[in-house]
Amino acid sequence: MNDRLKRRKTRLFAVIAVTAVMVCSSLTWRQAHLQAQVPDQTDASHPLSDCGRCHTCANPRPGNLCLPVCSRMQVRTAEFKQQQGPDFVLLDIIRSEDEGVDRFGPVPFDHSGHADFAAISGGCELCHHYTPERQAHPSCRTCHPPELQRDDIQKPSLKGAYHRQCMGCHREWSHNTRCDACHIQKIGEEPGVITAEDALGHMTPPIPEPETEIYEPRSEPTIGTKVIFRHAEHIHRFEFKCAECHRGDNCARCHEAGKKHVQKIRTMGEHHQDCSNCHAKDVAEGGNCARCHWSEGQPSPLPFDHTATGWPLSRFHKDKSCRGCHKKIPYTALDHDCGSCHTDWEPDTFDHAVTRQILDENHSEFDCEDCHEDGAFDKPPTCTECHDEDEGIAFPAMRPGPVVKP
Amino acid sequence: MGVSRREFLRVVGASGVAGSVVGVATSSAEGSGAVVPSDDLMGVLVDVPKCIGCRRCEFACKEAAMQASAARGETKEAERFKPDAIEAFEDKSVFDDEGLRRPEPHCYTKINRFPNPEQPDKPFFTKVNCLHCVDPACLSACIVKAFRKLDDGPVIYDAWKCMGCRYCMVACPFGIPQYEYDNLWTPQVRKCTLCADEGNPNKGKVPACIKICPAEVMTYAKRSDLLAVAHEKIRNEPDVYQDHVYGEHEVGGTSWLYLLPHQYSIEELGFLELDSKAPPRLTEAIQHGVFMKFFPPAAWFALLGSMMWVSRPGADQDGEPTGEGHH
Repeated sequence: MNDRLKRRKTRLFAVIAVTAVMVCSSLTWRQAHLQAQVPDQTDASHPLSDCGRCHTCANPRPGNLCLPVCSRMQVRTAEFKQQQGPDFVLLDIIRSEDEGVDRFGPVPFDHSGHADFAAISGGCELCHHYTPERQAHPSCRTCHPPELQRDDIQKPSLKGAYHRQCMGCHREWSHNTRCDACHIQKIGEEPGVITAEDALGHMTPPIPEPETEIYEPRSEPTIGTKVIFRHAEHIHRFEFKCAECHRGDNCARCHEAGKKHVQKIRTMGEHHQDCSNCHAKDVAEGGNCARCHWSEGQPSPLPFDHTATGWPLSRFHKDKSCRGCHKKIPYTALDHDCGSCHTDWEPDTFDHAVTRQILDENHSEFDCEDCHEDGAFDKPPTCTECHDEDEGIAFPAMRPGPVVKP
Repeated sequence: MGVSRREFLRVVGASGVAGSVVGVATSSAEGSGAVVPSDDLMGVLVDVPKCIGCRRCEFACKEAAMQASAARGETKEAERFKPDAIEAFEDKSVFDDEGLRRPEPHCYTKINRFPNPEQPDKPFFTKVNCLHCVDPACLSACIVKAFRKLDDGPVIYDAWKCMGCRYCMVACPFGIPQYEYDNLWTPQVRKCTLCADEGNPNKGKVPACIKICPAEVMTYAKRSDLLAVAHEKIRNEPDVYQDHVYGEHEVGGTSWLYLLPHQYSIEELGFLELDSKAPPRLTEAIQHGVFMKFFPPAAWFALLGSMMWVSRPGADQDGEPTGEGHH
């Protein structure tokens, strides 16, 4: 009897103990599991306590983060690519709440232009601040309803969201809050048809482009007291886009031209940073300072001349854009072998007339090397392969066919 | 406009009687008890750091007041409210020229500019207008009950009852009500009506200033919901807002609530540091206390009466008056 009681007690104890162990271990495992699944555990800014501050459920998981649909607090962006975006968007969802009275017409928005600015500073997420899961490129009204009176007053309506986004930057450099900077239709005017032409590439106000900047460094560089920077040359000749040099600049740098910016004390490295991205060799120790620096009374450094690189541009290359041949930035010297660029060139499909020299019947069937010795196409052809030297036949006095007039 | 003498006396008499009755009934219970905002109370949350200072609210306010006056058939008044063209409000020189701008009789709201020490190109702007107190001092001070507080918040004014004493202007802790000194025959006390005045096209809808605001600086919703949002914003962005919702407790709470930038103190932004007790709780406590249960007047009467009794002629002679005096 006593034994049975004892056994039952032992069994009961065992069951309790096993249950307790299971519960404890599952709890421990669960805790460990949760900890392991917290997305940015290494990120100190993501606290591991107070989940309820952002998450709406007790146990957020990677599959079910139960975050509120949109949150300004937590910037979450998809991988945007500038090319993916539209060039032009007509913002015409919002209508005035007064019947029949629309104070302001729709806004033609130059998306590509703004995407270019975003590449300078802030990135796409400057505007596209939150991308809900499984929505690659949501429109603003996914989160911001067009109605002013709405249930969720946590976030602004579409009108507020647009204006806060736009005016946040625009008022900073324009120092005004003019409606007609974006609403091109004037108050009281009949709304016309607005097209991409109304927005694309129109800068309001236009940004004046500096031609040549001349700086006078505070320090006295031994190499010269003046520095020249040919801005127009870099844009038009070298075809640099704004964002390729202006990294992290604010809007006012260009939009508010003429404004005296606060002079920062910078180290020599910082001063040369913008240039050294491309002119690394010139800026380096023992480099060619005279490319930009010169002294008062001396001639300033000359604009870039391709001849100085040892490859004077022939008439065939003269009008090409830099990027047509130099595919990478910074531009570096290319192989002088024609085939290094003209990779898809085939003798069979080549029309010699593009050189302005048409080959007549007698010459059109020859191999290239018959006239162009060793494939040296940049040198005058030789005629001695067929013609005796004594005949006095030589290029360019005598030609293998008619010449195309330019 | 004008109130007949008979009507005026009736109102005064009625309010006096009602006041003393209410005073007797409630002075002990409510004399110092705060008015609790009801759940239906609507409010406006002003996110001050979001304001871009475009002054379109000033335009919309004047326009709505003009339309309301016109709808009531007050054509002359409508003319006084008529705003300039909307583009004229783009003029930023007023911030430099006019100092700290205050509401005017025909411009219920004004915007003020304050420099932003951290981002000089993004100054701060505050909006000045009637805050529509939960327990309004103007209403309490008005002896003819020309002010009314509607259930959803607006404190509105009835010119037909007003006798022009301007006690409301003295009573208002924010100095909001303005008097039409330039209007010789039919002057009114003017202040923001939250677009709830008769004839206002926005009555029962979103007030005009809130509707036009491009940056949606103001949110019109239930006051309790707005307070929750305001505290949420403060918690999330402590580097933007100061940890104080102006109007939550000031003078017993106001319908307008302000989220202010942390760079400035309340007073530096043109707001007043005010006690959380509504002024009417003190003034009414005194007023009602004087008549409490009719005891003070009765006691006063008894005191004076007894003094008269004691000092009556011949009172110093002890005993019953003799018949000698009649001789």
